[in-house]
Amino acid sequence: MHKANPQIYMTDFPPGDPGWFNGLSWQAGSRPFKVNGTNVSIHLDDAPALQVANYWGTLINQKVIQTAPDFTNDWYAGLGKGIYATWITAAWGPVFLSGVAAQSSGKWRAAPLPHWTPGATATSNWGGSTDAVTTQSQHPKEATEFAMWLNDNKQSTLELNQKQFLFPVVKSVLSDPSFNAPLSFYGNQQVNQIFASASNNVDTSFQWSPFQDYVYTQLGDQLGSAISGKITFEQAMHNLQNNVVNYAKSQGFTVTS
Amino acid sequence: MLPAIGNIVTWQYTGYNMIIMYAALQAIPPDLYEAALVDGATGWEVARYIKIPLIAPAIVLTCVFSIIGSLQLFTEPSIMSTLAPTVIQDHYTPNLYAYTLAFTNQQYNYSAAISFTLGAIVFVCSYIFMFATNRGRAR
Repeated sequence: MHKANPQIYMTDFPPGDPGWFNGLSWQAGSRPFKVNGTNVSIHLDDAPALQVANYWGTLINQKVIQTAPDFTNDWYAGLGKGIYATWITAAWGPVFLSGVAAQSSGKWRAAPLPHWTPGATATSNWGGSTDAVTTQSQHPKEATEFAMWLNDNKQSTLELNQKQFLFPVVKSVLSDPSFNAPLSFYGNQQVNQIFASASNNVDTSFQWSPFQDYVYTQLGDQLGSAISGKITFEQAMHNLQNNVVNYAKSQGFTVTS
Repeated sequence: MLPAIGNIVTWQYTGYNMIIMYAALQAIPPDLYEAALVDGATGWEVARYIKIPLIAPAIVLTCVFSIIGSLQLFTEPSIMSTLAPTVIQDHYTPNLYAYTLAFTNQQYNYSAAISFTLGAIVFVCSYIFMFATNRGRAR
């Protein structure tokens, strides 16, 4: 496809979005962290993560995918004009895409994420939202009740999904006909059903680290170096592993790796 | 990346430097301009022989500010990091590194050490620059 028209790419690999890459490693079976109090086991360069890194590294070296940062004006224009044939995304994608790539209405369809082994059903998670009540709140009880209502009330969660493209957190909305309605932006496909079934298959054995900000920054740095060609993608994952292990030790965690 | 950042910073501080030099230009006695007119000097020659030497302290001042500003550069790399994440990593400038250390890595002590070291380096660079330019002045 890229040979036919060098202007278009299969998809985009966002170099500054480590959460995206993390979601893909999660789906491949990578379990980088096991946390037990202050004991942390770190395996950021386990086999599935290396598999994902090498796969994307090969695609990037063949230049069939682009490495532009996502959620920028150029990237939105690229999606709208069809420069990127696909967008690997999460459940908040459908309404978001119809908002930012309005000119390509009708040309998109949704499909489940390809799997590493045929017939597998593993999916993963990319980001999310929370509502938090801080300790400085002067009305913590009311604030907490409101936060709970926001994510529990049928009308509220429906609007959160339709107007704010947040994935529903209540099952009643998941089975609500308005959630499962065909979307004209996607040629009247019932897009949300794909995400609803995907949400059942997320492997929740994945654990996060207590210093995920640091891990993400380092992952972004290493992927950036790999994309510029200074190191290989596999080396990037090994560097990441070493940096995070050193960091965790210097922060006082008991590390096994 | 560096020319892009240089472009932004140049436009940002041109007005500021201009005001400093304009104020210094007001201190030049006007009879020097009349003498230059009598001597038949062109605009460029007036600038080169009268204005620049007499506002030399102001030019030194703007240079020192520019050196300090460059060493402390943070805003432009921070903005550009979302557009060019492969080029601008967390240690592109010392202040960006100190910021990442503090707010992402939670290594506050290390970040404070970097800030103080940067301050010391800025102090040394400014002093060297002013010493070098002062030596050239007739005493």
